[in-house]
Amino acid sequence: MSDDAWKREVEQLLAQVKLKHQPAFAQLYDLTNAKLYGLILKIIPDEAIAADVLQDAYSKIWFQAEQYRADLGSAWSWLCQLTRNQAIDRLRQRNRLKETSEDEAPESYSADTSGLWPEHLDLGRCLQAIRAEQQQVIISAYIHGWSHSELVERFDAPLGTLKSWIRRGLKELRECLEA
Amino acid sequence: MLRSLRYQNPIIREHLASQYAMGLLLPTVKRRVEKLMDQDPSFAKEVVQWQERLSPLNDIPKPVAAPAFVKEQLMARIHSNTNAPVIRNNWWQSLRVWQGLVMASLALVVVLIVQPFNTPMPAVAKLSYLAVMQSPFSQDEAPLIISAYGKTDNAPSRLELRWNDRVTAVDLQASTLWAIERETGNLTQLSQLTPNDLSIDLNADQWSAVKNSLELVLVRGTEFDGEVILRGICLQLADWVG
Repeated sequence: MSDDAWKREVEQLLAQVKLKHQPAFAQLYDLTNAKLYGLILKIIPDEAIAADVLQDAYSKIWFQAEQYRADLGSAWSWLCQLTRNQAIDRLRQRNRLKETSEDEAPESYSADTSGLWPEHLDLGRCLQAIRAEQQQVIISAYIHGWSHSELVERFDAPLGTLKSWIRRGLKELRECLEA
Repeated sequence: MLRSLRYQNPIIREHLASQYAMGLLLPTVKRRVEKLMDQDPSFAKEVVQWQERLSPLNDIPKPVAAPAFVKEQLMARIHSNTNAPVIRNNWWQSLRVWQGLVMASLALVVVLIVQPFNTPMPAVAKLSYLAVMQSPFSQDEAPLIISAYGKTDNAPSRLELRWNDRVTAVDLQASTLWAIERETGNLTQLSQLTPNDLSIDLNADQWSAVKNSLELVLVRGTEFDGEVILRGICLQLADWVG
């Protein structure tokens, strides 16, 4: 199934979930659980906690589906934001640095050679256009859900500098995407 | 209400929207931003635009199949919550279910008493189904009752819409009424409504959809993925005894 067809199916299933259709909800789960669980595991590597967060996230999807506005954004983005929020909230409740290796270096993400962007050439191109440290901090913060203070430790940079990388990087990304 | 001028500043709004989408806000700020999203649709739109811009990053992590027990527990959880009575926070809220039933009963009594005198039809149509339509976002009284009458020799099956006089009527402009089938969850479009619709004739398929429906749902627009305006469980009414 192409990425577009997959996202259309997610869209249609979420529309039925809004109407409290349980079989559609089960189908939506089957279609999306691996991707959302993968997202959560990047933020919370502990599989048991990640599974618990996944269950909470889908529970919210069921009970709060009416809040999704198809006229504003895609169903898949909404599902991801809700799931990431759930994972990040859980993360903030715990002391994350105790759960993971303290000397874990930031994973390196490349916007030009990783092949991560076949369906998203625009974002890949724009990430390539911004400075490398901005790119790394933005992707790491997004994927791992790291807070500012965690980013300071992992990138060994002053807080002000990090915030500036993120702020400027996002601004340049937006300008590039809208150009 | 978050009406501070600070939140009207476009630079601050842009910053908050992007940081929210990134997941970088402190919990207290995040809660304020979520409140602002509820109150300010244009700000909610800014947040969604940022979510869309960053959405391709969600495809970076490799998919990992979730443990099987998650789905089992999840389905059990939503099933029990869907079928069990909702636990209310206080005694007044707990009356809401009874308010609905009282409204439905009153409507039924009024309809049964008034119908024989008002109806131009020689044969009295039987009131068979009733849905007390409630906003999913409101704790107020139900604003609308939809009654379903079977066909007679002289008239087709029909739905009748009656507003609750104590509640402000909901704008039904460009809305569509759907029936959700009890067993399969399939959707049947019953009618596109206008504000003046008080009676809707049904064909055989539509009547069958009402008969077999779990719920009637009023949705903004012509597609079922629009905003849900009102919804109500479709009750099947027993015959009078005696």
